[in-house]
Amino acid sequence: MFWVIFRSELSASFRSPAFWIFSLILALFSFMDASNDVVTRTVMTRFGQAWHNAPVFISRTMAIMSIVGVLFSVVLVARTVAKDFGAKIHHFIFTTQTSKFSYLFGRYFAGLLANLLIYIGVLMGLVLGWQSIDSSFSGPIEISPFLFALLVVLLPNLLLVSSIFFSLATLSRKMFLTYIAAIGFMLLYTTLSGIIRNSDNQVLTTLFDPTLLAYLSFQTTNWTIAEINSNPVPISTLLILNRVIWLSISVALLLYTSTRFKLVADLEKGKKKSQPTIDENSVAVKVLEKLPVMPRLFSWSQDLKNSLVISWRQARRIIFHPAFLVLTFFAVRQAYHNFTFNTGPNGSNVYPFTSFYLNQVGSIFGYMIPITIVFGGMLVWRERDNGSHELYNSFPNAPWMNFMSKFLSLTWIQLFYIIAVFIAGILSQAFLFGYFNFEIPLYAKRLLGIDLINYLHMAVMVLFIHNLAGNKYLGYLICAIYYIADLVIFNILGLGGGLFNYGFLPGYQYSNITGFGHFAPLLIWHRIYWLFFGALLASLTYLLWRTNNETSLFIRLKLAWARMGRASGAVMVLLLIGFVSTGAYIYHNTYILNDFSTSSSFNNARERYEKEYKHLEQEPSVTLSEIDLNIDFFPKARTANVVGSYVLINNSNQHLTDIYYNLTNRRITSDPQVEFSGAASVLVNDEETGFYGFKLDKSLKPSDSVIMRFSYQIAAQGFSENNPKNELATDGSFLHNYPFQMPNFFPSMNYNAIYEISDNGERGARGFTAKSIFSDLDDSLALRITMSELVRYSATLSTDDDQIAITNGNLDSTWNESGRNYFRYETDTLMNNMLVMLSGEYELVEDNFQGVDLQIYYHRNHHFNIENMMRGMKASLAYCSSNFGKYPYKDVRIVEATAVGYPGNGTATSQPTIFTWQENGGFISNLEDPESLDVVFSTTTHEMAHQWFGHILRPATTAGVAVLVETLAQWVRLQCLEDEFGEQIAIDFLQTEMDIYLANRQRDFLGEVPMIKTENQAYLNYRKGSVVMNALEEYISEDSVNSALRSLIDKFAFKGERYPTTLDLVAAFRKVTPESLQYVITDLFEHITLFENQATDASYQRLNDGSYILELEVSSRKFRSDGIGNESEIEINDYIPIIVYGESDKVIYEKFHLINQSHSNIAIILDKKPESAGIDPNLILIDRTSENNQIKVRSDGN
Amino acid sequence: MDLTISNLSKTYPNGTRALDNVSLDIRPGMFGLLGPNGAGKSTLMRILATLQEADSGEAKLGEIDVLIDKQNIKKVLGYLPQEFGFYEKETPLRLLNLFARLKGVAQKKDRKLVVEALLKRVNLWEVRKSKLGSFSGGMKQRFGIAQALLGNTKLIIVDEPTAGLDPEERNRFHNLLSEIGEDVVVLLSTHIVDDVSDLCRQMAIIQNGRILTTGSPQEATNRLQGWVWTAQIPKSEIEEYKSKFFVLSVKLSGGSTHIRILADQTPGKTFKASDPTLEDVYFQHLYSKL
Repeated sequence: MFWVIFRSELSASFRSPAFWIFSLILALFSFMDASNDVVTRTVMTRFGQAWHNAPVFISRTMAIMSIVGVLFSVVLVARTVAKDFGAKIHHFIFTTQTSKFSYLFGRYFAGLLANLLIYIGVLMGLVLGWQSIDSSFSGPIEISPFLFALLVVLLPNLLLVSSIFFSLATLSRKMFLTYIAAIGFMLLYTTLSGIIRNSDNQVLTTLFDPTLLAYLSFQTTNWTIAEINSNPVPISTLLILNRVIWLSISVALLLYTSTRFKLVADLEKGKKKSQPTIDENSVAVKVLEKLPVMPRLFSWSQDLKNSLVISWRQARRIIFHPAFLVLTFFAVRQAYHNFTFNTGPNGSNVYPFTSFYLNQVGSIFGYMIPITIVFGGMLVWRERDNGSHELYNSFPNAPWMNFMSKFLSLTWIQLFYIIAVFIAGILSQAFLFGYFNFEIPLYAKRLLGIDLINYLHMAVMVLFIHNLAGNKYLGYLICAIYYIADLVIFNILGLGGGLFNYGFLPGYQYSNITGFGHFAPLLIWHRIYWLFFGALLASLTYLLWRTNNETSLFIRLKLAWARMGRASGAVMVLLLIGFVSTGAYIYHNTYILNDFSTSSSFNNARERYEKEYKHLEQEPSVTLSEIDLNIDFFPKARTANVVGSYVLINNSNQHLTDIYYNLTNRRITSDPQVEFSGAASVLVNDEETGFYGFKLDKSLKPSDSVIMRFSYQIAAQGFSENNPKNELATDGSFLHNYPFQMPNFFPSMNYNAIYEISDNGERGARGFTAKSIFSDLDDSLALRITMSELVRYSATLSTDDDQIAITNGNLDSTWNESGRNYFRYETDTLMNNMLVMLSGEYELVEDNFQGVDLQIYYHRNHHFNIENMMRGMKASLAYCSSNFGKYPYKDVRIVEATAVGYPGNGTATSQPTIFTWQENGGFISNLEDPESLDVVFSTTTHEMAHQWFGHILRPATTAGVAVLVETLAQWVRLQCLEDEFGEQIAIDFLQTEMDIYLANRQRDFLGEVPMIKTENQAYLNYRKGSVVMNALEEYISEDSVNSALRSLIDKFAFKGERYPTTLDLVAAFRKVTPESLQYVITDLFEHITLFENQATDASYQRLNDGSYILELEVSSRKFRSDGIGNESEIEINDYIPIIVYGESDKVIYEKFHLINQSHSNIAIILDKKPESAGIDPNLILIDRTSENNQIKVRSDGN
Repeated sequence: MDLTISNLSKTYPNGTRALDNVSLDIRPGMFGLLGPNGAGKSTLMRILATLQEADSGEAKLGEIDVLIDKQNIKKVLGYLPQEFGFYEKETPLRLLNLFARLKGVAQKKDRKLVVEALLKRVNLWEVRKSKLGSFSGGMKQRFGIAQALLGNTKLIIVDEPTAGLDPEERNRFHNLLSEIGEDVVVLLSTHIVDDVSDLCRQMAIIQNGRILTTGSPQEATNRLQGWVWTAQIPKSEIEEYKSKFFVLSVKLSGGSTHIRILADQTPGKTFKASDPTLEDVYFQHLYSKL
């Protein structure tokens, strides 16, 4: 019997479209995952250069797909018995000879097998995906990783999931409940695994996570790419324990179900009332009295009231359904969890502003789409489904009443959500953070003005679709297609959704300083535009609303026409006029007042730039040597008038006549006026690429100069989703002249390779050869190139009288003239040409330290950490000045930049004499916890150090450039931390840096390189940089390091012929390093060197004279690694610190020992009793297993 | 107010001609529409209840144009569909209260009164707080008629209300219908002859979308006086009689076969004259069209 049921169920599975659709979906996902060679590799399963078919990834993909497939399991397995109840055929089955066992398990195992079989799709998708990509991304295909993934990862996962939901569905006999539970299960899993992944207890986490994702992740955290490629998934007791636990749970569930399940038609419920009974005959025919006649009222207001009443009755049933409450709970939980996580100590650790919470509520939109589709469909089809539609349709209510009640029902549901989100926000701010500045109006603007209206648009669309669809399931299908298309199509087209994508709200940047700022009109106009359309769509839905049994579209159109009386016709015409005219206004703003640039038009211009002007790169050209700017900010009008002059000098040894500059005109609203001190004629006037050239009538002799004068206006006109001109704000304007950021606001001289297309895929498609960002170290030409010129800079800035205007250099004088504030900045010293100009309503705190004016410009509400910044500035200034030479300017300042003009949440950027810090960074860091590192102080010291390393010492743009900038700033940070907070803080800091370095090695797309050759690899430049510099200090002393750096600065500061590289840095270090330690420099900078140090045994004996002898057994191995982590052991002959700790972890012995064997026994005489001992316990060397470096000392005999 | 139907036609998209030029003149009181399944009864009823559109023709209740002035007809309409259901967790009290609201009874206390009266009238007052999902077919039908009686209805349409009811329930339902006021047009469709003979003073027989006959059941029956003959025959002879005579019905009764034949004189010596019934009329019209 079992086999009969099994076979028939299995063949039913094969016949069902679901089986094939699920297989296809899994195949598609897996294919996308396996074939994706750039974009989302880090998002899905793998990273770095590892092979896509590495064993770990196969298992991980399988684990992820088993989560994706939870709902598939519900359909394929959980339904196998419960479907009989839905179809009410269980009576027939229960009356046959079937035993309970055969029935339950025949169905279950057939479902499970079908469930397993759809995962063949994953295998096919993976194999096909690997074939479709560059062969360097995949290794040989082997069978065993597949078997492991199927049998160890997938099968137990499927068993667990299907047992849970099979039991639930079979015992409750309710599929709807089961689906909701499955959705809840998935949400619960993601929430819990998010929490747990951040917990420190890896053992518990591994055991708890049934999918094995945690196990796979923990086991491979510090794996190198080479290990990922070759190692199978490690089998450990932890793994076996995990599988045993979850398999037992699955089996227990099934056993429970089979004992509880009864072959009876109806579940007996204790509290269920029996059939109502009335004595029908007793009442007989006593009712001949007339029915009372009541006054009746028919009016539109009455119908509105009716629709409100009905809508609430309908919504109430959904809102207070446990399933819906659970769903709401999960959605809200996700929002406040993300909020507390991102804002709290594990995240950016800033004050919990309302806007940070609201940044997270967008995720709820993801829940709202299925909720609106499912419940919208249920509502539209409700009467039809329960058979009461003919009754309702025969009632004398206005035709819109019914439609309105459905719309309002959805509105209630959505409002319920909004309120839940609001309350969760307030509560988490108050109780989790103790923060009480709630900003209720901001909550209202965001939740009602943005989220609720987004939801309502969705409700309108769902009702429209369901009303037109022939049946409920078709309606669901069209809705799903609509929303998938909505997500996909507009991304592909790149048109910008503003005018074409129903309900679309352009992106905006909220600032806690300026609020919605100039995004407000952009948002409001798009809101109005789509509200007109939404109202039209709603009117159309109402006109076509089913009020009788007619289904043919022709008849419904006829009815709609009849229904459209004069009034509703007029309203619709007005709505249409409103829609078209706001659309025209938005069009005018987006496409006429502002240009609309797509990435392809941008790249077209870049392509032409390179093709037509690349040859100029080799020609001798002028050098910018002096800049004078006059910038008048008009913040209220979001306008700035620019007048400037450049002194251009001929540093070549030839005569020059041609002068070229870049000025992309996207931001510049008036025709730029450009003239030269001598007569000149136009050579190139290429507006599309923003490249211009002039020919001087009289040529420039070597070292002659010419003055270039320019004037133009930068102004924001209207609004634009594509070109919002965030640099001009009513408060917090932010201009810069970084040549490496497009577009530029000021002319940048000469052909610049930085404007070429940099993405190598795009370059290949356009017929260019690939290029790397940085030149090779041995490229002698590159040594003459740095990021920006050395210039003399002066500027006069003016702005409204409630604002301050700031730029680089020494503030010379300020004055007020005709109601405007003027600021003159004048600097004698040459300056790295990275200039910024800001204007805002700033507060200013000033101090003077060692003859330097310290200034902090901040927003009045962001006053929390000014003092920490000031201390950081002083510490860094003191350290750098005394070690690397006096600070060359009179002023140095920190300026708070608003989130609007300055992307990069919370980041700080250094320019000469200034560093700008985005508002969501250090200004609002929450430093109330005395235990945690003072990140404001720490970051300030780093940024301040860039005045030396970056602006005074300006490296060549070769590989390793960031080491001379970031690694050296990390060095200063480390020293300042140690001076300010003591050694332990520095050790903790270094431990974190080491962990981050090790964990990021496998994520590196470029491949790890030695420090001298790094590119934009932050985990090397910053993290490994700290570790390396600390090791260097331990070996050759802080003073030696600093004297080497000082020599570098002395040699290269303020000079422009040749710029330093990491080779110069290494040479400087070698100079101050004794012969015996030269190998350290080699290890740290020229190779990727790793150690495996381990303290294997330690014991002590007390000697007669009261001293102790410690016998320490250590093993020590040394490796060199290649770019993907292939390690080769090299002979060890290294000085490694041995440290012994006494009572309460006091260091009682610390000395470098020469270790020249892989196993060494070290005997040390101590005068205090040792408690523990270790080899390099403070981790100055890079060691992937750091926890075994230290060992407890045991007593050996007497 | 009379209900006047003239030349009403309706063809479904699949080509079925559900109503073919139907004209009827219906005076207040109970009017029975008798016909087999698929005759077009429900289509006619739905059109009159504004739930379907007619292709052509006209229907008027007094001065109100049923086909065009739908809002006004709904104000005086009570409709009990052939098949209907409710949200099962609702109770009769709450649901009828909602229906009263939708039918325009705006005052809460008015609603309370009318709902109580109706539930008592249909004998559901005792179970007013039970869930509708637990109701038997007869109770559901009685709830249905309660909602149809809500409001000052002038036109009540009940579509096959007794189908599937047991005899006792059917009897109760007949009593309810018979109590509806004399000034209201009650249109009752059924395929059960007894419904019409028990309740209706007027009737029409409909088949394939056409009205075969209309008038009072009594008169129609009287017209067949002397034409109906009955006899007990062996089963084997049925076909023979069918080929020779107009057989109205063949029924099994107490194990033997009784045949009824329409003829102007006795079909044979075993036959006895029988009083005509409405059923004879019904079959006469049904089969003469074949």
